[in-house]
Amino acid sequence: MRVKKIYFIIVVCLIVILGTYSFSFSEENPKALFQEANIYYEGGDYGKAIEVYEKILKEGHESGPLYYNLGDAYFKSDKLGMAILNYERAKKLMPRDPDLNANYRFAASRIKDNRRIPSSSIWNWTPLKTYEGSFTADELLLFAVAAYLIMVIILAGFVIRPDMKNGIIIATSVMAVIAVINVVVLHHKVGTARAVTVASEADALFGPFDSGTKFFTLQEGMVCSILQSKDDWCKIRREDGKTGWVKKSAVEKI
Amino acid sequence: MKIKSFTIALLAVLVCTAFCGNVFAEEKRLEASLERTTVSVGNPVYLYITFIGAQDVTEPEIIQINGLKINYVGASTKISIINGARTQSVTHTYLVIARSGGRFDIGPFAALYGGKRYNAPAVTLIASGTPASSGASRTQNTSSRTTKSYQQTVNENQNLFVTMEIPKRQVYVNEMLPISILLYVGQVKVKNVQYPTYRHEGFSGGEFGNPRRMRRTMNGRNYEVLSFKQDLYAIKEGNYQLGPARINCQLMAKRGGTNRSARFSIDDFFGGNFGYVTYPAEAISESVPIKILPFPEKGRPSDFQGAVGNFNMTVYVKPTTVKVGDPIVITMTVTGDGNLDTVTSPVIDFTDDFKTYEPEVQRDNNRKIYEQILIPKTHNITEIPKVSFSFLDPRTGRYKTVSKGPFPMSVMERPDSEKGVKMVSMPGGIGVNVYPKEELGKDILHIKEDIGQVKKKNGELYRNKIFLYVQILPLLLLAAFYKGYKRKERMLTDKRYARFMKAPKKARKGLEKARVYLEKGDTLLFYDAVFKAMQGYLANKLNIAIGNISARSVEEKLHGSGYDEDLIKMIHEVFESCEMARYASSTTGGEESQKVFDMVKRVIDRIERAKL
Repeated sequence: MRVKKIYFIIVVCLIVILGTYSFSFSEENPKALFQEANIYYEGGDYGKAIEVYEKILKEGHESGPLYYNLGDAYFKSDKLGMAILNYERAKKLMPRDPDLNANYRFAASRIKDNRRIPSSSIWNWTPLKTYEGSFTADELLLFAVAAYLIMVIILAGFVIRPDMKNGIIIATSVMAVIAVINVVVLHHKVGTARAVTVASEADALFGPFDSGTKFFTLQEGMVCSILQSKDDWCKIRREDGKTGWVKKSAVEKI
Repeated sequence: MKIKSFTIALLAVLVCTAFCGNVFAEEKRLEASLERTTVSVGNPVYLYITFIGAQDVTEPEIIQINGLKINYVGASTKISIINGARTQSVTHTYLVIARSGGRFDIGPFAALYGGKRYNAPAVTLIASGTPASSGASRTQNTSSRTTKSYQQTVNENQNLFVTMEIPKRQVYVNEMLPISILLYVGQVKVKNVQYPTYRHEGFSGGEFGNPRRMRRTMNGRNYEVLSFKQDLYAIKEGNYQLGPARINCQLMAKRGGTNRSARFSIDDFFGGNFGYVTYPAEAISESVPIKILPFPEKGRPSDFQGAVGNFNMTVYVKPTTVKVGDPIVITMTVTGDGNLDTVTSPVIDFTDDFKTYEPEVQRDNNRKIYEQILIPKTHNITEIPKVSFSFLDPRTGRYKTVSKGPFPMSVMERPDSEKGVKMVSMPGGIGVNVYPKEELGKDILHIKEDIGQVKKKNGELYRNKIFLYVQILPLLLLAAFYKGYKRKERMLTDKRYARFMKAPKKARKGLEKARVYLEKGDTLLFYDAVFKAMQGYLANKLNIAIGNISARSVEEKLHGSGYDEDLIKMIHEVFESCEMARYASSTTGGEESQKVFDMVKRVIDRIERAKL
């Protein structure tokens, strides 16, 4: 009787969740706008194209190709910072798209004085960085959930076959490690606030005030991490590990 | 029993007596003999000294004789009984090698046995031939005659000798001269045969091949022959001597010589030496005069480059249709008999219309392959010029020239788009095309035509709290599964628990049956069904045998389990009502039945809720 009740609760929960996710957008409008913006772009009217692409975003819709095209339009408008910002946003949705990666590399090659040596953080370790950059946050979450579900199934197997203790411990441990790694990477991916320098140049100061001493300069298009915010200022860390305060208006959060 | 033992003893005595009698009757004497009395210098011969009539006789002392080398090999014993006559003997064997020719008397010989001296007369050995230049164990052939093929003849008595077989006495410079050095082994056994050494001034020599073993008959005698083949190449004109060839080996002599008539065997050159002693030996051949001739002046072609032999040539050209600047490969293969080392690349009369590279050469056993790469510089070329190769045929002493071609070619103008292509020479003479570095444009890739999957902004799954909370469900399911599995397991193994758990379900079934009877108004059957349902439920729930269920037994059980008095009273009432109705049905009515039915339901419900 009680077991039946539990099953019932679970089924209800699932229905609620699936119901939550089964909503769909009316894609007619964003699609039409997207095509319209593309026509502007192909006609060389990059300003108008940007305007229409941004309109789609303002309506609360987003997609990888949308950010990609917007990045292209900004690039053609010589707004390197905005171009890289939108490429970065596109990478969050379609990280393995070859066109996007090619355009990103090409745009990044235009950043002035961008030959920085990355800091020796573990997150700059190439395999980890590649893994993190190759999957979206949702994909990492699904990997973790899949490993977790497999782990639960294995544990259920242990209830039936307690004699297979050693094998089950190993398999469960492996799945647990996979799940934990994916969760940690996901946490780093979404937990680190990153930003792109959209101003042509931005001085990073030692303190959050105009009279502060300049420490270094952020060039347009440079990506940094936001560590702290205070009034109109935010504390950023450049890829080489240097930190400083810049005006919020100089950077745009990815 | 006694008679049988006596008979055996008597027979033994008779046999012993006969045996001993023969021994004592045997005549004792010493004999000496040679395996053969004539021998060539350097060849070994066995000397046997046999004492007949005893076996414990030490070897006689042999006085060394000038011109002979005598070595003691060993002793062998022999016993034979023929027609009851028993003979025993010991034979001491010596190996005799003549160092020089002549007549030698070996002996007389003497042996001591039983304090008595026994003598044997001397034996005579006639050694023929001249002594070898050095080494006591050397052998040497004695003949100085040569056959038509310049093969030395030998003394018929020789057991070990070397000959050189040389096919001709005159060769041209660069000509290949195949020679064979043959080791003849007659009635001796040899091992550890070394490769021949010999002088070959005026020639360069290749490697000896593996020796070939064969049988030959010479002067009516059979020989085992080891043949060593080598190719010589004439280097410089002049008169020279080839040889003498020397082959070192080890002679094997049988230890003891058990059988006087046994002969040497050469069944095994390299093995089977058990029971043999070995002696170093060197066999020497005669030297052979030979003349190296210069290239004839008469008729020498201008493209002759020193090749001597009998050759042929094939030529392939690929491809035959090319564009200006494309490589053409001419493959020229020279095959035939002769000195391939002196064969050089065939000659092609190129014009300035071709760019040429050093030909690449490969060599097989009897052929040389040249690959010549050409690059046509102009589309006016219509053919590859003829290819010629000249050589001296040593059999006729005349020059010969083999020519192939010319080969028709179709050379086309290279299209303008390909004119920047350059041909460069790589190591090994291979040409490759190197295209000019193309200037590539740089820009971002074009925009995407399709918007792809449109999502709500910030609608990522990881932001969805419901999704995250739902992740607890698998653990709950696991817990439920665990509990359900364990319950099922207990139901199978714990009978009391199974009864307890199944009690409500069974009671519901019974009550359902009772309800049907109640609706029909069948009071008797109703009470019967109600009583059974109640009885079964309590029996299962309280783990009491169904036959022992009564109001009293239930009351006693429930009192100790913490149930309230009201419940016990209700159970008591139910049982009383049922019994009244079952045994005095006329006193009960429909209302009373419904009351009992509801009471039973309440009892079951209260017990289930109590969870005690």
